[in-house]
Amino acid sequence: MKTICFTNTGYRYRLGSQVFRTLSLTLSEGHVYGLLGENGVGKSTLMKLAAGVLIPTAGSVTIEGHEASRREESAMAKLFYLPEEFSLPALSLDTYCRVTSPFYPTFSAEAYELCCKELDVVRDVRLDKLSMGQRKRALLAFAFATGAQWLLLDEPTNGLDVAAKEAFRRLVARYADEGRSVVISTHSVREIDSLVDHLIILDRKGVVLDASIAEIGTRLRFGRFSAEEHSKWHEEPLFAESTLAGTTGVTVNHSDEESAVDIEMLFMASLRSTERLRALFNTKNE
Amino acid sequence: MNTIIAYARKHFTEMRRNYLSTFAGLFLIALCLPLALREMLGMTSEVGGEVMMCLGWASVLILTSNAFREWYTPGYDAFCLTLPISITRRVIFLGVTSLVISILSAQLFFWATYYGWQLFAGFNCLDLQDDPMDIVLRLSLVQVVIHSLLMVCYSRGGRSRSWWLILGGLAAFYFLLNIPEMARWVSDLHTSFPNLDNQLRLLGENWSIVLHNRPLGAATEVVEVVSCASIVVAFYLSAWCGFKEREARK
Repeated sequence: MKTICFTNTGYRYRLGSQVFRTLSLTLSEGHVYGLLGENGVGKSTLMKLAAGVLIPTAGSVTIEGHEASRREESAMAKLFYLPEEFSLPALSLDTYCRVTSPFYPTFSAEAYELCCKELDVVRDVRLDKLSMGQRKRALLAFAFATGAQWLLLDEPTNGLDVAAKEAFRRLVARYADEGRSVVISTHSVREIDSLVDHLIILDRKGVVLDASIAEIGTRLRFGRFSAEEHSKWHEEPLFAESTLAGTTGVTVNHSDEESAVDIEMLFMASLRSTERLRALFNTKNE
Repeated sequence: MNTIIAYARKHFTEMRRNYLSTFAGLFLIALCLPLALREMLGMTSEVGGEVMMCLGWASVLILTSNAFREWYTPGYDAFCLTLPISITRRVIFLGVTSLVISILSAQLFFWATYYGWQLFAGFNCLDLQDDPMDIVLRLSLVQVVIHSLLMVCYSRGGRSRSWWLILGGLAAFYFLLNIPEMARWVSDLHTSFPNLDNQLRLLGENWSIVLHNRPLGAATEVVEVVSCASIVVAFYLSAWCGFKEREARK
């Protein structure tokens, strides 16, 4: 099984606070992970640790058994990390692709053509002259073409227009179908709705929830509740809000019926009922 | 090996414009500075030392800065550093290429314009009492020292305070070089510390690490060469540790 493992990982920025203390997490092949959390909880740090850009101050991070911080070429070739903010060289995407693709043995020229087409990428203009959205499209096209086993995307949809977001969703779904994994860090929770099959929610103490969408749907119930149902609740909902059409919220699912997961509501529940959610999913405090 | 070749190709493609503009700048310095100095100072010869020093500094500063751009440019570093190539290979490649290109380009531009001026304008800008090979060697040694200091700077992230490190490092370099004499391990009036005139001569017209007019192998020279080499190695080691540390804690 191909995995990225965080084992009792701790990280502290030199001039900042402790981000993780004893984070333990396993990412497996063939999944689309959604990494959620408020600003500053360590989503980007977690990605950088996995990509070997940062070295943990405690514990370890391994990519398929290789220590990420060692940045062994064979391990790094299986991973592509797209940071949230980046500056690019004064090259066109085609030239950039020509000089960078040799580092990725699984790079596919056909996939590159296809991704450029789907994302409507401008290929003949220098990357540093493109707008933020166009640069993101260009790099996403390259990222998907690398064929890397692990695609770590930090806020990938920032700056993308509606059409590009739609193309991005298609490409992610296709990518994961081929047994590869995509980790998407975002705080725009709506954008990963029905795209991810596994969710990881972080808070300042560490992992609040680490579960598949199927498991979440089995354990929690999402939806709109009538006033009658509302009055019959035996326990406080994890999250509830009143709307003109009634009450919507998240409760513990006591039925056998799997509920359709609403990621935005789940995220709100993770903010309002953090410890209950943690207990429900048996997530250890970090 | 393939990775290094791919990395070299990537580096030079991305930095092509920077390298070309640097070479153009160095060529202009080599071409115009002798004439400018002659016009300003009224000299007809012996301005070559200053020109060469200027070329030496400029080439190392700009070319090393180009090479290590990906280590200190925010937004470019995180993106570049995830390339599947080890830190060791990357630093060695960038360090060695920036040093070699600096040395070669400074020498090339200087000697090309030196002979150019002599041939076409009859203007001899360098008093060649010294062996040209000695001049070449001395400039290269100075460039190695500057380069080692720059490596320390870039390993610290290229922040503004790192530039103070360069100045401090250079001062320390010249100071430490004189310790053998201060401690009276060796005796040589030519470089005795703290003779200001001699210090200026060390930095300026003579700017040499291995002082000439003395037989090679003399105690002073051996101690100086060993001191110099130790200092340079210490700078490079410090730079190496800095790169590793910077990787670990951004």
